[in-house]
Amino acid sequence: MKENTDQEIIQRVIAGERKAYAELINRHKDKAMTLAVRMLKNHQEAEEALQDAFIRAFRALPGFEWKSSFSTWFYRIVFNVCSSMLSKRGDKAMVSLDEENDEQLSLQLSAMDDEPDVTVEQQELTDIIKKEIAAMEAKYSAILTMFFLQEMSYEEIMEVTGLPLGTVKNRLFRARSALRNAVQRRISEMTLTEKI
Amino acid sequence: MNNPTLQELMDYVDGTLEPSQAQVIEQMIAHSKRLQYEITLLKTMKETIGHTHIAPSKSFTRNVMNEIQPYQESLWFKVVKNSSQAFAMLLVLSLIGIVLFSSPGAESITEKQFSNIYHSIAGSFRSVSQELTVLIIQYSKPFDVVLKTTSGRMLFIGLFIFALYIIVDEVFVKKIVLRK
Repeated sequence: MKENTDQEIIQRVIAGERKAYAELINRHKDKAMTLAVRMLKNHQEAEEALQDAFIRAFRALPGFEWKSSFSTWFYRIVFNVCSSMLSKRGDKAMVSLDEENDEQLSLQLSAMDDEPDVTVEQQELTDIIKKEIAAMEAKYSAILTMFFLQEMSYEEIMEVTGLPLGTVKNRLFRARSALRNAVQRRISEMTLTEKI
Repeated sequence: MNNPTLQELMDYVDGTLEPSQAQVIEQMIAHSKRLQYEITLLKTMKETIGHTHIAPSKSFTRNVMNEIQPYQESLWFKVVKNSSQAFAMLLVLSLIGIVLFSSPGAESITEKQFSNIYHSIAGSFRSVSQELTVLIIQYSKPFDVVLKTTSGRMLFIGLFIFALYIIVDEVFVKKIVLRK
């Protein structure tokens, strides 16, 4: 059976078929929840934020102009709700339009000819990555989620976060580097423990 | 050629490099275990993040839908609600009318009409339950002074209807909303 597009569902909702909104929720809730959890680091708060975001989106739906996809527009709402919750907590990590410069983009891998001194099983590596991303700063884990899970382009991330293109690119690079380093560090620690 | 930068490796993993550039990186990867390791790490990061979904609770969709749906009113509930609202409104208008337009001449007519209504209500009460009627009469004695005037009687009925409306609203409306 052909699946309805977001646009078709939204048209039905605007026409008065409120129940159709459940389809939209089911379609986007998991990815949006992942973003909220990555930002807030708390499952219950993330669910509250997501519920708030879906209600806000529903109310704003008649004014949605299709300048972007529904998902981009909706993730912006999720991002804003979560940022606002972080601000209330006193965490300004997501809000700051930081000074990140482009120097790091030319970072060259050192000792590239060295053989890696550690190896881990694929499943082990996956587990480490999951743990490390959960522990990352919100501004980094959020941008990684948008880029890899939501498969957003730089432009879409700009639209969601309100950050300029240079900062988006730089933050994404930093996030990936930070995650890589954290994973690498964890693997080294594990290998060291095994040797002892 | 110099070692690739981390950014170049990331672009390679993302598939955003120019084909010629990608080919050069591929050759370098083929000859370096370190690079192979880095690529594995970056690819696994990409796949892990790309495939990890965190689901909200099972009741999530229902909770959101409950928030956005105005409670679904059944037909009987609509009838009760709208009737009691209309009745309360009529009563308020009547009270205003009595206060504004009552005159000594009209007072006696209104009193007579009221007396008829009062007796018919009392009769109904009696037929429903003798004990209840006794109780009502017993407890309404302190209001005798108030009930001697037409305005006082209308006020008494108004308060009674208002209380009835509040009870209907509290007991039935809230129950329906909470049940959903």
